[in-house]
Amino acid sequence: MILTLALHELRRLFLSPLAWATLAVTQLLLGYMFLTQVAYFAQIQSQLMGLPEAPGVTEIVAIPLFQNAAVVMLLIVPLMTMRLIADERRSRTLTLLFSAPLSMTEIVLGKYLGTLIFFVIMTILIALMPLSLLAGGSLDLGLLAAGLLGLCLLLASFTAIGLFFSSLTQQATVAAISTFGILLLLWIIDWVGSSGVLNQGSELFTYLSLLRHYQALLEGQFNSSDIVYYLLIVVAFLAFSIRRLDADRLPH
Amino acid sequence: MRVTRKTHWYIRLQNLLFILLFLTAIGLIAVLSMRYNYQADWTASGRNTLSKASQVLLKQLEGQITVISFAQDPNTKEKITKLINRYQHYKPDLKLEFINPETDPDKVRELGVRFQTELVIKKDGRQEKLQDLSEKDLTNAFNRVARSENAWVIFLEGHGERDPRGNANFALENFTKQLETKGFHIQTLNLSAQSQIPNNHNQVLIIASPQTNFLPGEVDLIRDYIKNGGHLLWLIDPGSLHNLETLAEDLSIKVLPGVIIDPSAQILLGRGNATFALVPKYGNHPITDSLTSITLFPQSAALEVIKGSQWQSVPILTTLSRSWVETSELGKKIEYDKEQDILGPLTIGLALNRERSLLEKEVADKDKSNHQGNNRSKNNDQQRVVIIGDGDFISNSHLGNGSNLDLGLSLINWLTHEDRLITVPARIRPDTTLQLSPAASSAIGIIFLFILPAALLGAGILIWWRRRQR
Repeated sequence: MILTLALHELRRLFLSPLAWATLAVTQLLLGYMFLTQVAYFAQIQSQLMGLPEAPGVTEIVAIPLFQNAAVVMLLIVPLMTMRLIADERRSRTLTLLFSAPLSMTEIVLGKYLGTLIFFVIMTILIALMPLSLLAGGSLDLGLLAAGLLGLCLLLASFTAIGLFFSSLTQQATVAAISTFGILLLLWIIDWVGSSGVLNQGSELFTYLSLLRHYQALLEGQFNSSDIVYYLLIVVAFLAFSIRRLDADRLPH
Repeated sequence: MRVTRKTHWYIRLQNLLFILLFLTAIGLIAVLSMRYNYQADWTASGRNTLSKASQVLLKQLEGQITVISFAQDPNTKEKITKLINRYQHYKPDLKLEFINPETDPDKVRELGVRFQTELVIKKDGRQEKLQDLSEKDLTNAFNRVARSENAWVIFLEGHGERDPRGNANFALENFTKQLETKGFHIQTLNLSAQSQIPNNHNQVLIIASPQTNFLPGEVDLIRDYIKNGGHLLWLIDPGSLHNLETLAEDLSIKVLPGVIIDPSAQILLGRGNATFALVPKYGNHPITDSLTSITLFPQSAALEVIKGSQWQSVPILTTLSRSWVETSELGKKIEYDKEQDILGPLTIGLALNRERSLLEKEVADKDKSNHQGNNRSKNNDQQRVVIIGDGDFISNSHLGNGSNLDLGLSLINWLTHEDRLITVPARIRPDTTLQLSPAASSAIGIIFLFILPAALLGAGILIWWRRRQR
């Protein structure tokens, strides 16, 4: 049932020009960034040969690409998720969904999965870029896999946060703005810790930062705690969304 | 269900409770996930994990080690924390401390830190400093700070030698203090009071520029010490050898009469400094490998090796070819005299070593029984001697010049066999080369920059147009 809902959501996305335009624009932007990194590597390649522990292609080309992709997604995810529930609420189709023989959990999970599949497709398109370099040499596939895993987990948590804010309001733009605000805040929240303002408790802020956990994966370091962090973000915001819709269902 | 005011209240309370419980559960899982963390390094070169050599060392280290950093810049701090974290994974009681140099300038002075990135490693009152933030250097610093307890440095006294505890210009107090922070034990030995020279493996005897003659019995004691495989650092100042000529013969060296004159020192240090010898470049030897700048030798003598000895000798310190040995009186006019003076490059420092198996058999056997406890490797079985044609370079007044201190420390390290270097293999990435043919690179460019975005945009327009038609 959830899968049917997810596929329905995905179909709806791809029937609108929005999804296609988003894919095209990100592809263009990231493609450009990717090609400049490749050119940069070709330029410094001969100098790198002399260094004892020189960084490789994956580190110089793929990792910055993933970093840039995360920043681009910070802007795009709120736009893709803003209408998920806010629109239904606005066009009063939410009551129709309520009356359908579906639990809130199924509705939320369906919508979430549908959007997530869209972002997975986007990630695959991004991954194609560094993989194309296999034509001219080898890659550190482990590092690449860690980076891709990180990007997927990051997008999963972004989407969950976007979905929650979409469930709060009728106005899609309000949902988008607040999603972006929270994502950015969670992105830079570790600044408090590293600035040295706080003597204690900086670990909490460092832990909350979306960027920190992503960074570790981009270095090829797999920590189960990083994975758990993203899963907790996803679970928490999905549960809040379900809770919120359940509360709406009750007559006032 | 009938909803009354009361049920509303219940529902709200229930919601609040749920959220509280839920957040607590989330926090709990987060804490647990941090505590029971599973770590894996996915990179092909394994650059996030410590090398085997470092892991083995950390397992052997006992007792707490503290690493102190004075870095303030967040990026540097993070870099240091990351590096230390890797070590803490294998040695949980390794402590990292950050000290703000602005609020605690005394500490900076006490530890003699010069750069932000400099790390001080402390263990049981001993300390090591480290400038390069690499695994190789950090691992070796840990190794040095945890050196064996029984490294002894013995200064001979009774003949006007440089005083290891004196604070006069020509004495060695500053140098011995540095040795003590590195974990060496300092001892003085007066042969007329104690007619036996201890002979241990991690021990070096220092004869630092004697001023009066040795008695024949004393010379014999020193010669026996060398014959039995003892390590020696001999600092010779120009002039008489004070009855140690036979020792020089045993070591197969000759001291050239006269003082080294180096015109480049005159240019660099000003007039009146012609008797300084400069050593700007070093050969390939463990003693001089770590030196980064020049070393200065005031009033030094040149050494020569007599061929055909059982010693393996390596000149470790060599002056420039412009220098010469001035044999005439050091008057007002110092000039190269073609007939009398010897032109450089001249050797100031010689490192000698020989395998202990070359010593007389009985001595070797005795030595073996002495050291059965320590299972030493073959390399450790060397007898090591260093002769330097100058004693001033580690004196209080000249220790701070160039790399003089570093040279002194690494001399003692080498002589006492404390120079074991842990090699950390370089992590070579599998993907350091990228060779795209022109066709391939233009194909990649065109596909990702034009074809793919255009196709996606085209599909979007097509669908939008189709739906409008309907």
